[in-house]
Amino acid sequence: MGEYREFAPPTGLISVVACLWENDGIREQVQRVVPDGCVDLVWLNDELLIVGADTGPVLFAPTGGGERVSGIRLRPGAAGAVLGIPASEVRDARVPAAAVWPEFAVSLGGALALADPADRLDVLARAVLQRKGERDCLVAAAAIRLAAPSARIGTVAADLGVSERHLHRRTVAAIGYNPKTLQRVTRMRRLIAMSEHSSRLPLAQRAAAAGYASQAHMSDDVRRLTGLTPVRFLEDASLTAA
Amino acid sequence: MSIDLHAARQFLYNDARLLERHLASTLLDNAPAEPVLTALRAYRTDDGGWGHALEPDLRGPNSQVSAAMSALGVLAQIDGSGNPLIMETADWLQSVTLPDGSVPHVLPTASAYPRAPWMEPNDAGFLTYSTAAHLWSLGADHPWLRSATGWCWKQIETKELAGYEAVFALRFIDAVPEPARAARAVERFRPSLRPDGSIPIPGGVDGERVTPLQLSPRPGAPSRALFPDDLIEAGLDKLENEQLDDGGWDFDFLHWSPGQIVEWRGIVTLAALDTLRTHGRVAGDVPRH
Repeated sequence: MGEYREFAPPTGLISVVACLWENDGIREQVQRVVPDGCVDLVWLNDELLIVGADTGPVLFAPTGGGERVSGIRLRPGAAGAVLGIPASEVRDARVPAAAVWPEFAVSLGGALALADPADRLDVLARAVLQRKGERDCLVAAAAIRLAAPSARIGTVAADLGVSERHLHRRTVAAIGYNPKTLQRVTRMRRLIAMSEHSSRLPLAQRAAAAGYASQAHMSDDVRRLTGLTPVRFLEDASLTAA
Repeated sequence: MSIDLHAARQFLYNDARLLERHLASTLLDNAPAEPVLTALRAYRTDDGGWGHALEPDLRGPNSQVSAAMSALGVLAQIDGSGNPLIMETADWLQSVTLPDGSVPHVLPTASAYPRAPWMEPNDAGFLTYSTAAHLWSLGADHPWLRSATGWCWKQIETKELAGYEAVFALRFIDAVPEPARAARAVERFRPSLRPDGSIPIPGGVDGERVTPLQLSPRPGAPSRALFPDDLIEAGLDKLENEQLDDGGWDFDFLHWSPGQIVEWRGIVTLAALDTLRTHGRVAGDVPRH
């Protein structure tokens, strides 16, 4: 892995941006990126890409000393508003931004190409600040509730005063995938966080605390999202970065 | 312990200005923002600025920088990006800007009207930080903002800032869209922090200090790098405990007139509720971030 750095978003972007990041483009081993519900805008190899929310693992091959990669990570639920298209259109996809935002992406891409690599995050932050839409509050509220260990989608929808079908439609538009996948992703993120903080707890206990009904349930979910067994996935913390 | 939200709302009905009442509805109950804008416009002045004690320590009818800053702060709170008032306010700021890019703390017109003892006309520039911060949060692009940003960076990167100037400078650092530079700048403040995360206010009322939550009111902002979670949690506990029997919160700088007291208490009560809400501490409420 190259040197990967994350930065907190400026105040005006906190509602829609999880972080800004840079990677100096050197990767000594295969890098596995696992689903986090976020959509990234990435400047990579002189091109602005939209990296959609993934529903499975994505592997990046090792590279030599490449150019710096700069990205801005949109929060779950924010991508639809910022991109102005249903986030489901970029699910599991890497598409040139110009395909989604003809005019804006061309001018932003031009600004990024001209910018010093050290200033590219500033250019990205400013561009998203100036065109930020409102994050979908219903989806944001649903994401928080779905993260609770025993949450049920039907109950969450009812709590929020909408039908399950309506919540499904809004979540797909804002995040790119359905509430069930969102719940799988948040549960796995909790398992990762818990494993970082209390790695000596037996895996079965971590699974229960993260909200899995059983260890088999955890294995199924983790394999679906990462392509690995939980033990293999969790033992290598570097795999969970980015 | 948790707060008494009902009592806090009753306090606002008792004592808060119309502006804070509408703002409370928008922030706490997702009410439409238009009534906030209507109440805010009442503080506009004929020259395109803001006055009429919008910032309660300057009580005259003339335009003042602190009032313009407050107006932009309200617009930022309701996420009023794109509102024409933003550019009009920046135009007005340009008209009072000093050659170095900063704006004066108190304009000379204040001297004919009631004001706080620390609000004598002067050119100290530290309102420039949060005024620029609000404009950045609103996604504005204006010549004033570019020159003010240059001034703010120069101050932050070449001086040792103390007291309220540090508070305002951190607001700028949190809002300016230069994430790597902001992360480095935040570290300049670490040596000034006392073990409880606060910084003292030189010359303030007895024991006056600024707490971690005042230095870094927003979860997820760059300044949070200075404060471990337990200091923030302790600050939130303390803020909850500071709710008074009348349901409101109070401020810890000088109380110098009945109008100033009642108006600031409405503002700080709403600010306390908003801080607790963004940290998920207001029961039954999902943080909007």
